[in-house]
Amino acid sequence: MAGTGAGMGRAEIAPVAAAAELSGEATRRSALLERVGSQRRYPVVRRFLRNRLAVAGLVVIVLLYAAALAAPLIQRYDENTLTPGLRNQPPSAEHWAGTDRNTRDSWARLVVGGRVSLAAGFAAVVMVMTIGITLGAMAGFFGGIVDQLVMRTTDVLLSVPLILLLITAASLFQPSLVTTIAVIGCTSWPGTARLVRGQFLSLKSQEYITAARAIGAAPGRIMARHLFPNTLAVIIVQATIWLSYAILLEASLSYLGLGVQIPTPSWGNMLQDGQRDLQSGAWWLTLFPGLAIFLTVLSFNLMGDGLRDALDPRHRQR
Amino acid sequence: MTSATTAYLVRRVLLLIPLMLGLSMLMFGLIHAAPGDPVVALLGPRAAADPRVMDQARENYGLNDPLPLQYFTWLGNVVQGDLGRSYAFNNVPVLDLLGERAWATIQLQGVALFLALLIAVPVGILSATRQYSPTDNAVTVGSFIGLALPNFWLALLLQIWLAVELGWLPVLSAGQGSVPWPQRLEYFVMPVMVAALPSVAYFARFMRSAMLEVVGQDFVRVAHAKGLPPRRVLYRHALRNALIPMVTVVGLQLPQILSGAVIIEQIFAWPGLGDLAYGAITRRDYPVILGVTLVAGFAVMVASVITDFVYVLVDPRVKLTGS
Repeated sequence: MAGTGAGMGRAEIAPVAAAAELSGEATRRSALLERVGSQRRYPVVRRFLRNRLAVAGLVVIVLLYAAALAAPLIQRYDENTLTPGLRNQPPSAEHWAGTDRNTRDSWARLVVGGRVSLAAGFAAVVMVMTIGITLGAMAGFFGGIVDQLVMRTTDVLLSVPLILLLITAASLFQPSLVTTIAVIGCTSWPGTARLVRGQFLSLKSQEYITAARAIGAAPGRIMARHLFPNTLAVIIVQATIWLSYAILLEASLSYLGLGVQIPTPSWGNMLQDGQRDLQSGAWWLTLFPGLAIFLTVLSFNLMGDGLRDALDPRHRQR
Repeated sequence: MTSATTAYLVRRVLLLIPLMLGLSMLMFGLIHAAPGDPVVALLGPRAAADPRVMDQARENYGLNDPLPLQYFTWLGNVVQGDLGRSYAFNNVPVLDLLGERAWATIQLQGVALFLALLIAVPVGILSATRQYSPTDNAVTVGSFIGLALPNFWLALLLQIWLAVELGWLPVLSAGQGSVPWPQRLEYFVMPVMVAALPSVAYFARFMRSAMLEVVGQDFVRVAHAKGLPPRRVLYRHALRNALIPMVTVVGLQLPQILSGAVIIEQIFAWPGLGDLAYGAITRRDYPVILGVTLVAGFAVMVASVITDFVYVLVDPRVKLTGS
């Protein structure tokens, strides 16, 4: 009975809300989306597509990854080839982003560097998520000593400024692409672990989990099949935001000379390399790599924000 | 404050002890797990060629002892206020070095934080009171941009523009200590801008959503309904409540601020803790690395306890009892 009542209430309210939503700009956009079709069945997709900034972020990210994948096709020159006489040339029709102090083509290095930076960011986030989700899930599900151990470790790790921890770890081991990824992965998981733990804690007392326990489901199965899928929305948002952090952290480390090492290009070490010629006027060596980092981070943040609003309408504050 | 809240805060303070122990063990372990020899950094490559000199130096610095013994020796000294002497910075006691550098960081970041709040709070209010207006959209886009700008890139661009091209400001801040006061402010401009920008963006966004949340609540509607002028409702009723969550955000921003300090001080040669940390790390100056991380970690932990405490003070409804 109560169920039907609530249903009727919703049925009455829905048209009003829909009418309120479909005003002005929204009408035109919705009409456009109507033609795209099938969005009614995917409210998350619809909500996401309505956020123009988030869609712009998504488009830029797709383009960046496409460029990274198609690097050999669009880089025009080899990123390590030296061309005598072409030292610190400004951008031209031949060399779109100019050349650096070692006479290498900057556009090629930007494209390949993007590949390195995006891949490093992605690998680091996979690591952060794997560690964070596993430990957070165990802490939330088992509680007790496991929980205490994980949470106190996160307390300690979160108390050190991340960059300080990163440069300490990175400088102590041989700096390289792999070290950078590992170091970011091993130090950056506490936030995710706490998030997942919180989700698991609030979900595990729900009735469907009690039911699963009652029919004898093993803890591993409950976590993987019942709890994890229900935290996926939160995790996707977290992973998107962390992609931007990881790329920024890799760039910071490489800029400080403690990340990806030359001759392998990355946006961070290109900035470090280029700043030496900044005073002599080679602005393109500083402008373009920084712009690339900025655009990438901005796009991931915009997309992450849009995803959060779309996946969790209650969180929506705009 | 209820007794449960007091008990909670006391427990938070006591919890600092095991946390600091954990942090010191983590950093100590990390530093000693790494390959490489601090004695080489200490004595220079010429002495490193002589194994007898090397061994004597290791013996003198206690680096030949088993690791747990080294840890407890060091910890015993730390508890007595002795953080050891720097390997790389002229054998100066670490504590003196930290004290000397901390002030520079506090000055820079204090000014930046103050300025960030001064800008962000009004901007956030403006944005919230004109939700979806062009002003609001500009603030939203602006704060996304502010958060995405890499601080080292921004610093480089400012240096090339304001210092090299226009010649208005000094490129680096080293030696600013000997410059008399009004002129010394010149050295602050660029580092403060770079340090404040992400905070401005973050605080403004937070202030906006805090304000929007409060404005939607019943007591604000009541204030409007009983006929109070809108400005009075906004500043007397809504703003006061919206500022409460800001306390938490500002208090918990310290790790990010210190992270930023490492890079900003490095670029501008600002003689603070971040610059010291970077120098110590690249030169494998173990006592200084440990000293800086412990001080930074302690500051972050204490800030988080203080944040909790202030939160209870400004909002009497809050009762902290959770574990």
